[in-house]
Amino acid sequence: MEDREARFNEIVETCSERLYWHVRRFVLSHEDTDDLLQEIFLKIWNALPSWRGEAQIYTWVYRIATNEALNFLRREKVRSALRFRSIDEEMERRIDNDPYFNGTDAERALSKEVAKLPEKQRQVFIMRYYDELPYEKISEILNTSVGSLKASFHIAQEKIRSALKKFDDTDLTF
Amino acid sequence: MMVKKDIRLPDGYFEDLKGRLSALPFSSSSRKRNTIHSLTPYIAIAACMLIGLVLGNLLLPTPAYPELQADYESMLVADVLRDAAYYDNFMGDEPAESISEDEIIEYLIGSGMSVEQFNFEEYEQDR
Repeated sequence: MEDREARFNEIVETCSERLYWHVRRFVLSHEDTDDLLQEIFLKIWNALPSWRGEAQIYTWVYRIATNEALNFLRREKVRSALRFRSIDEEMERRIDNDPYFNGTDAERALSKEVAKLPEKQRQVFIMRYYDELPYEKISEILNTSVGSLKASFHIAQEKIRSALKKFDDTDLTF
Repeated sequence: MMVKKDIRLPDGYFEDLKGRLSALPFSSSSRKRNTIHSLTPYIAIAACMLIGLVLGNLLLPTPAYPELQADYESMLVADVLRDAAYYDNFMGDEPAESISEDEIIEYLIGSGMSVEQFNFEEYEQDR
């Protein structure tokens, strides 16, 4: 129990901030991110006894966080459909109404375009552009080949560049 | 304020977050949330089976053998629930609650129904 507690506290200390930013890029809301982080760390606590070191702890934790963020988005998509609303409109509304947003119009538009990407491309783009993870690390987390990740990122990049043509190129670089 | 490119957060947010997360495994609300969360799928399945049985009883014609009606009616409730303890644990002394939207969403996701099927008209057009 003491080992479990010590390991959990170490994960909280070293990963909580990074996981906040990672989840935030998916759910686009500070309050939902805060709630989801508590669910994620509770899952980590419950799963710690079964972790056998198959993957690095950081990779394992990141994978749990990514899955929970995607599950959250799937629930939001169903929730929007039950209310006869589009999930894209809901995500745009979150970005426009975010009281913590402090970026440029180009960065706001970038967030909106990222939110519209298919799930796989969105994952790769967030991890590569916002989280600044190397492809090898993303490959371990998502259990996908580096080649496939690079292809997904390139497609996502082209879609976003095309959508953001009206903004000055110096505002964003990726 | 903490700045990460385009998002600012209140000062001290991450220190506060770490404190809350460290205390999480030992909080009673997390234990209670875990129990209800783990029972929700079983309750949703039991509720759907109950609804199906009740509707079937109402819509199906009168059986040709009335002497079997008593046996059929006795099956309506008692045998549906795999373990009555689940029902007791959920209902207990607390007032009955209707299924929440979150429970419906979790069930729909687990059923594999696509988002397009919710919008019936779009689904019919695509078929």
